[in-house]
Amino acid sequence: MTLQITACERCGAQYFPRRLRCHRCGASAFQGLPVTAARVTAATQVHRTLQGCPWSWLVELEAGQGVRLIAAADSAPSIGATVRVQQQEDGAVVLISA
Amino acid sequence: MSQAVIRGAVEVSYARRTTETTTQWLGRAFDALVEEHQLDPASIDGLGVASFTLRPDRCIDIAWRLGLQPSWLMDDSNGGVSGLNMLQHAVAAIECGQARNIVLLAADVFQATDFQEMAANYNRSTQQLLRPLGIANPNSLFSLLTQRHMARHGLSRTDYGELVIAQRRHAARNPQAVHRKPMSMDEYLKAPLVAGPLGIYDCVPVVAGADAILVSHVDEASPRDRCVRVRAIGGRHNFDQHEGDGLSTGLSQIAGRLYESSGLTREDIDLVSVYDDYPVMSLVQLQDLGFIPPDGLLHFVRETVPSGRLAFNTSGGQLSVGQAGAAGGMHGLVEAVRQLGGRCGERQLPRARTALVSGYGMVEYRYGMCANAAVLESMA
Repeated sequence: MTLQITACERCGAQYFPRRLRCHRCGASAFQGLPVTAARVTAATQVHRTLQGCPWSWLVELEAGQGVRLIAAADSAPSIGATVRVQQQEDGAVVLISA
Repeated sequence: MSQAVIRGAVEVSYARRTTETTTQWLGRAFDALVEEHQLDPASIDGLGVASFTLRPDRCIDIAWRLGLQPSWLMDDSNGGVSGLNMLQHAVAAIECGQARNIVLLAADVFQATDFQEMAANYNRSTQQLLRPLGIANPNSLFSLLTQRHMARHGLSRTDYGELVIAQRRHAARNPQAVHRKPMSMDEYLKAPLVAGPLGIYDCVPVVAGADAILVSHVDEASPRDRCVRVRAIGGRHNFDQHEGDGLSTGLSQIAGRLYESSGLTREDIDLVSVYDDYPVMSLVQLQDLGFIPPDGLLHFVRETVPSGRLAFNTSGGQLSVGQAGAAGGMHGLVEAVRQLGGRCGERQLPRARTALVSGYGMVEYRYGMCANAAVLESMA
């Protein structure tokens, strides 16, 4: 499913994970904002993984107006590359393989 | 000048494995403090406890098991800042006359599965967004952070290795450290990777352990306690709304005020204990506290650290001694108080009159949100 970050309904400031209150303008109403692409800022190969885990790369991404995300990938992404992302039912943000 | 003083600090030797419970470890730390300072337990009217694994028990349950009748209680679950956070509250309580003698305890005991459970359920963000990834844990998150730190400052793995090796040199003289064998750079670099660039020696060994501090009104203390004065203490949490890069902490906001209110400057500080969950965070805290000039990181790791000119994490730090959960948040404080009291045996520094201790922790989603620090001075 499509990843949704949140945007303040009053000033538009973007957050992920969602907050209770916008620290910029004080509003407490947010709306979902779909994100399908993000830029890779760091990535690491995790050497010890749980059995059955399909991913071995942990990736830090930047999306929208500088919102940072932690996601998983099954292969090494290039730092600086723009990648496609989605969020699974269980909450995991993952890179969609090319 | 504050009427509250630190009268004592003890650490029960950490252990890789234990059959004892967190409650029993807390009891051992209390006993060690009572014995070293010949305390009358009836004089203790305040108790604070920091622990992740004590639940369902809380501070009051420990007070009951110890037979204490406190008028002041505190539970703290803020990990790497819990030791200094409890100290900050205890000092205020004593200054306000709410208590005369406060014991602060910290302990944790993890079985392998307990530790994974704690890491996976650390908070709601972790539970909902990181746990489902299966590979997101403190090691892999701080690996991402270390990579960005390396790229920004032009550091290589050997630069972080210098810190680990320097701390290991201290640990060789600490009989309570888990890792005591001197380590070469080759050994550091060849160690198995956990999540590149972090290898196993960049990550703290998980241990069981307990620490304890006694904070009293100055009139309760005797000269044999070798008391330590808290010249300044403070924290700044969530300073960047968790929207930054994790390469600075709230210490960057409070360092100036801390030195100012302590009446000391950075040059007056004899030893530093920074919270070393990862070498990168030691560097970040040292930089935030002014021990590394803004453009002096390379010189610091390549010259200052190997030369031993700055006495930091003189116990060997958590990287050598081990991390006993929330007790890790008291470890650096205990080391500093014992150095200032001249109780460090073979690793005692020749000059230890003043110390700076910092705490860091509570990873929300990407890095730690909490930071605090204290400036201490020996009264001996």
